[in-house]
Amino acid sequence: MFLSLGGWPWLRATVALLIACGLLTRRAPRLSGWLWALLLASVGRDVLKVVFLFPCRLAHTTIPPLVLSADTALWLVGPASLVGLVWGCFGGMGRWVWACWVGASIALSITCPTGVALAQAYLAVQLAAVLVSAYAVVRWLWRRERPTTAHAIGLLSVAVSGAILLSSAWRLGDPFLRWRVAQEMIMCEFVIMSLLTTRLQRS
Amino acid sequence: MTLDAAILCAALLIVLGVLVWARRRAPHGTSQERDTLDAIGDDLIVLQAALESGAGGVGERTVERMRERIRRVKG
Repeated sequence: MFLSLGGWPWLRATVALLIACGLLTRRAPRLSGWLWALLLASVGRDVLKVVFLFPCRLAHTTIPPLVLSADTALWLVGPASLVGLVWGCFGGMGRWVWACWVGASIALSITCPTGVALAQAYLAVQLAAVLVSAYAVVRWLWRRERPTTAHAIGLLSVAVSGAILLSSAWRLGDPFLRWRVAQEMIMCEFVIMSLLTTRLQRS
Repeated sequence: MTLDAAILCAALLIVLGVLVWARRRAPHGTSQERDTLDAIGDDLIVLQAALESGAGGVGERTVERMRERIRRVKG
């Protein structure tokens, strides 16, 4: 079960995310909401895997469509939290991210893609999230403002998400093929983020 | 695995590069100070135009306003 969830890389990434959530809550509660959403969605997906997906696969029974929709909606919290966190760091946007998340969740629940189509849909969402986040960075650079620790956190999130996209989904066409490598990268991201958060001014 | 590590390192280097570049590119001082200095710059242009046109009264008032702004900036 532990190995099916992702083994040690998965555990390390989850612990790093939990520490980053705790530290960010103390320093920047406004930004920490996005990380908490990511953590809860990640744990929610693990619970779904353990309770429904693995038993259904073992018993060769069909997974209930509601469970698949819930899994997709929880996965979409990841890209949404990336955009929300980055735009929070660079200023602006909040409710629109959740509106987009609701829209994307409903669209994927209705169309219910599977196999290659699902991988392509996830790749498109990941790509869109990284591009929208990168746009926040470009907008900030255009304003010629002095970088702060919050900006460094935002930049780190965009860069690591871009690296994950390049190393797995973009290169191989499937976001789940290099899941463990992605977990290692996520762990690096949240360790650095935790270190940066200690420098963050209370807001 | 090596390629993945290289991609991650490159991403982190890009972050550092962008931060250093943004720091060098950004003007010094707080945004409030920069706004005040910009306003003084605008006033200087108005003052120059007023003096060149020979409208003494307008020039004096503008000079007074500028002195006030400079006093505020210096604190």
